[in-house]
Amino acid sequence: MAIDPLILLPAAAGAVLLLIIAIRLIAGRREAELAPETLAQFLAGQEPGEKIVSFVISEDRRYALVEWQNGKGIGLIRSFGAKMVLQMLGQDMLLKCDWREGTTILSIPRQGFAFPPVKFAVGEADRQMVKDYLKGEKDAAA
Amino acid sequence: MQLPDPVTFAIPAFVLLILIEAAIGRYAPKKSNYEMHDSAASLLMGLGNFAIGLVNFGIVGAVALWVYQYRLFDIGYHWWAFVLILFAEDFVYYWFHRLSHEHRIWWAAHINHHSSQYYNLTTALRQTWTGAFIGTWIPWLLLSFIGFPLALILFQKGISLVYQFWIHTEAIDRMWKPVEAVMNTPSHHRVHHATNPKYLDANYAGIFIIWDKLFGSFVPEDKAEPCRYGIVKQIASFNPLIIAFHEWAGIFTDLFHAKSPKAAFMYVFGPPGWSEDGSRLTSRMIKERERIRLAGQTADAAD
Repeated sequence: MAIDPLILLPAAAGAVLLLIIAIRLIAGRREAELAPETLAQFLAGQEPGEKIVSFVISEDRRYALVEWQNGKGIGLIRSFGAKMVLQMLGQDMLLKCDWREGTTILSIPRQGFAFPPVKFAVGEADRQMVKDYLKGEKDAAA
Repeated sequence: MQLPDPVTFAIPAFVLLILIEAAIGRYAPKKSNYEMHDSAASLLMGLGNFAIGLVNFGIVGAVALWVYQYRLFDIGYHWWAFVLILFAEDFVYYWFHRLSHEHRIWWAAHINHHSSQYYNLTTALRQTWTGAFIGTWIPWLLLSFIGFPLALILFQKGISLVYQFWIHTEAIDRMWKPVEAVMNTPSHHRVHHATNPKYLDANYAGIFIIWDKLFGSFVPEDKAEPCRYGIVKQIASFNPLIIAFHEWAGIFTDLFHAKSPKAAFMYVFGPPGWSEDGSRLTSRMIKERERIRLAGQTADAAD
């Protein structure tokens, strides 16, 4: 017995919606919070053998900027659900970053199709370090 | 002859098993890991694939019936035809799957299935939206040409899809040795979804792992190296449109910037990760880099 697609599709969409709600209720809210230990653990898998020179974690603990010893650019790590995603910010990207609200928020623009823009809230103690990241790459570009 | 659609019958079991697995994850997070946004993306990809399939089926079916006119044998629906197609369809699936990982144009259609950093039963439903448009169904025409009726091919494709659902789980550890030796299992398929260099481009099997063992692509799961799931360059979006089309956008961007016709060809048909200036890495390059790194570590330890 074949079911009419006009009935089948909305029914399937409804079932998917119910399943999503059920998963949310069962699994709960999941959001990774960045900390030095979780960052180190994540990067050991992503960039094994590469030595980290320094890193800055955003005030909301959702993002981090990382500098490696090999000078291959700056990495942006973002909390993504319960996981993390590493995105490399080359010179071209760092040149496009700009400060908002004085120097409290670093605006990192969208990169390609799969990396949405980021508002990186920088704590006062870390501001100089972030400026150095940007300056270093701008100097290299120059 | 009319054969039932195994997928339709399996849907209630799919739903029930997903709920059970999600519940297991609440008490044993190492056995199952669910995140609502990720699961929603996977389920919506599955829904989209189903809707696109309804539209495409007429065209694909018509081509298969056209090829069937020139068939080599009249296989029909004998009992042995069901046994024969179990292996024949799985062999075709192995090569479709392997080509989907080795050539960027098909990888662009298949990457969405690997784009989740989670590995659970909903990942199985994270299916392609674009595969049918670039002819990923062509390998199955071989079965029509041999002489398998279309209904039998569709039936076996459904069986394969249902089989491959349950192996997308961390809840089942290694199984009984004879089963692991012959069948594709959760352990083998975890390796396939892993991004660890040693696991890249391995275990393409659908139902039987024998094809990987036969064609040199088998890698067993190593407890000392836990699988990290996803793709080499993870994406930061749960949006199904981005999941479905991000690699296509990458291809078009690369084509736009290609400096030679050869580079343009390689960006479309070459291995994923290929780039003109070598700034990106293919699986082979990642494996080689890891081999050198490990050799360096061993040398350092010896010193």
